[in-house]
Amino acid sequence: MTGGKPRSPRGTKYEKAEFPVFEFPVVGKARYEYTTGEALGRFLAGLKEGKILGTYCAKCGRVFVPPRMYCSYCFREVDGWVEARDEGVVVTGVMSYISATRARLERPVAVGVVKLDVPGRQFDDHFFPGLMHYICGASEDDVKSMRIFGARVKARWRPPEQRTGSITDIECFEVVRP
Amino acid sequence: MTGRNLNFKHRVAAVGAGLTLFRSRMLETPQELAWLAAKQALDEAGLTLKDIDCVVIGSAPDAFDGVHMKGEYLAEGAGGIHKPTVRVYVGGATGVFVPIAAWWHVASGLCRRVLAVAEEKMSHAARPHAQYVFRYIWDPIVEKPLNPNLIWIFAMEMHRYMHKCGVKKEDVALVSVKNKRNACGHPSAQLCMPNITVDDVLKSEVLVWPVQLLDISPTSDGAAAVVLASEEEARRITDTPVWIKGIGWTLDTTHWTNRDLAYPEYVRRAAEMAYRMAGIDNPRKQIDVAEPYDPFDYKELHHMEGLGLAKKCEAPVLTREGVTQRDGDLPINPSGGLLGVGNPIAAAGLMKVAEIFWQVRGEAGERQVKKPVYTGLAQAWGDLMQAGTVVVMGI
Amino acid sequence: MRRIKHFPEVMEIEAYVYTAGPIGTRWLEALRAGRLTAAHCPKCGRLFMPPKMYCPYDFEEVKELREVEPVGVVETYTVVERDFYGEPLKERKVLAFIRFPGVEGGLIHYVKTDRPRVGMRVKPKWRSERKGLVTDIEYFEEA
Repeated sequence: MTGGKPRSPRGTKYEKAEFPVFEFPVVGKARYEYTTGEALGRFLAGLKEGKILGTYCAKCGRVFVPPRMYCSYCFREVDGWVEARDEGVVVTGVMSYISATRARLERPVAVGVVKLDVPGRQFDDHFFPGLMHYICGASEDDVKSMRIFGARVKARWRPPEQRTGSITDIECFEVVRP
Repeated sequence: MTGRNLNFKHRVAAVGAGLTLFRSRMLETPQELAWLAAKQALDEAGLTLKDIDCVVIGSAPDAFDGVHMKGEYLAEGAGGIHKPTVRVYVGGATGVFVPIAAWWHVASGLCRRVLAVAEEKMSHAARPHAQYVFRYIWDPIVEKPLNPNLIWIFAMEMHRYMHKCGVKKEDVALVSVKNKRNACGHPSAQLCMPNITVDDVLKSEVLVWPVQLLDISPTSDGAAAVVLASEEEARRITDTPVWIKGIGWTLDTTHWTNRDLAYPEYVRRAAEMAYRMAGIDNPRKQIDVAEPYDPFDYKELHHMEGLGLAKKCEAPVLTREGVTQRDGDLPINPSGGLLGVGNPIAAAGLMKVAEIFWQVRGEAGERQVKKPVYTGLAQAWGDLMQAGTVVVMGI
Repeated sequence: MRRIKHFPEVMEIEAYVYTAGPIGTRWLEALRAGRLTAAHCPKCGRLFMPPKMYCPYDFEEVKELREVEPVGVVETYTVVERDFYGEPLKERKVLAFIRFPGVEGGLIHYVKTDRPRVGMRVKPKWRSERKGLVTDIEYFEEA
């Protein structure tokens, strides 16, 4: 069968260094000052003190980390704050060989999602308090073989005087080797 | 008119579609790209600009193209001047959302013939890297300070899916091989690779394990357009209108670190909405061809399961058995998908809708699937893994 | 409980690259050659400046560029006293929208004059070294 659609689609390709294209260097950088709101404001203050805080909804039992002031499932205000442990299990882990700008890294780095423990509560895989972060102490083989899945990890905090109230106050989640 | 639980005034059909070439860098301005696709769609429908009463545009916001109010900027090339025109955007899901929004215009009785256009120029955000603009997608407070690369999220989702379903990289690579080969039958395709093998994929550069270079679709410039009309108009325009039988769309939370990534819940809900409207209760048997969104090869498998075209964890099995090839029982992405044809964010989904349109009419040329096509499905996915859009169309 | 109220962030996109399109590129090349041109629609005969590859009225393809006599008329103007950051300019600038007879659209450009007025006839002052940009015309002056 010939003559299929689309018939002779148009468009002109060009190579990088040809004729007049206009490169407009951006005047200055875009500087943002995000307001953190109530929930993340306290979350960051908690990180500075070496704690991972979350909020909970008494109606459905969900615990929110990162915290929010409303339960979007019950559509009501949360009922209070809890402190999550700074340890948990790896729900998914990967190994990055490239930086944020797509340059090759000298040493690959593992990142993943950590499901955090909250004393007195249990969570299934459907909804849980979890954070994305670096995972240290995991080798390339740990990731490729999928041994990293379900591994127990604990936060490695920066020394208190270096904390600024940011997710980076935790340096990484370290694999707990028995 | 009623579909189940739905009251609307007019049945809606697609009567024409158009595509430009998809290439990594195109000379045409965004409006000109939109015009090329819109003109081709109008010509196929035998209509002129005067026949169109409303226009729906889909295009990414300012940061990508470096142009403020991009959708409105595009309006002239999309025939939207002096007409009711609206821009919609849901990330990659836009391409399928544009015909959904166009459906509202026609089904409500407000408009009779609507031009739906989606366009993207990924080449504009040149330095440091076209992907840099994606930094805006992260939560600025709890995610950006970690200096993430966008591919991290896909790698995490892919690995979780592979872990939960026991899928190996070889199984996933089969999708990339299928689609990049299928693309060779597509005149617009950016990346036709007729001899690519699983081995090539597995040997390509590792970016964020398990994602490798040949698992990913290329970034592209391109545009697509579709003309939708009410039943009365459609029957006057063409003998073979393709009816929009069902539409669905759903948004999930941006807090993606709180849910299980192995199954795309939002795709399932969007699909359910579309299936309910279309009267489909056994998609595996009632859908003849599908174009799920495939910016990465594992996404095709992931979405097939979300759409109910395969049971949970069954998609890699179907792929390995050849069921999803063009001559198989459930052809998936006969166009070559994003992996082969290209990925201009907003336009890619509309390329898939156009593909289903041509497949149902038997006009897909080399790509025409073997089995007779009555009902097809196009699905797109977007944002921070949260938006799902589905269109079911057929005769 | 204490709160950390703001979180700073810097986005540094270094450069955007824009293209002029097939006919736009030829228009710029004509500027580089010191010629002012406009696009001509074969169906309705209108001339457009700046050019685009389609006629917005007929939606037909536009391929031809025709030379335009470089004498324009100021349709409207404004006097700019401050720069992008709000600092006073050393010299006031007149920014005008200049139309060309028979052409739809026109150019926004600087006009060097002490007496700007609507209806003023102006002609371009070309730079000696041109690159294929709208600024190949340094400014417009009274004709």
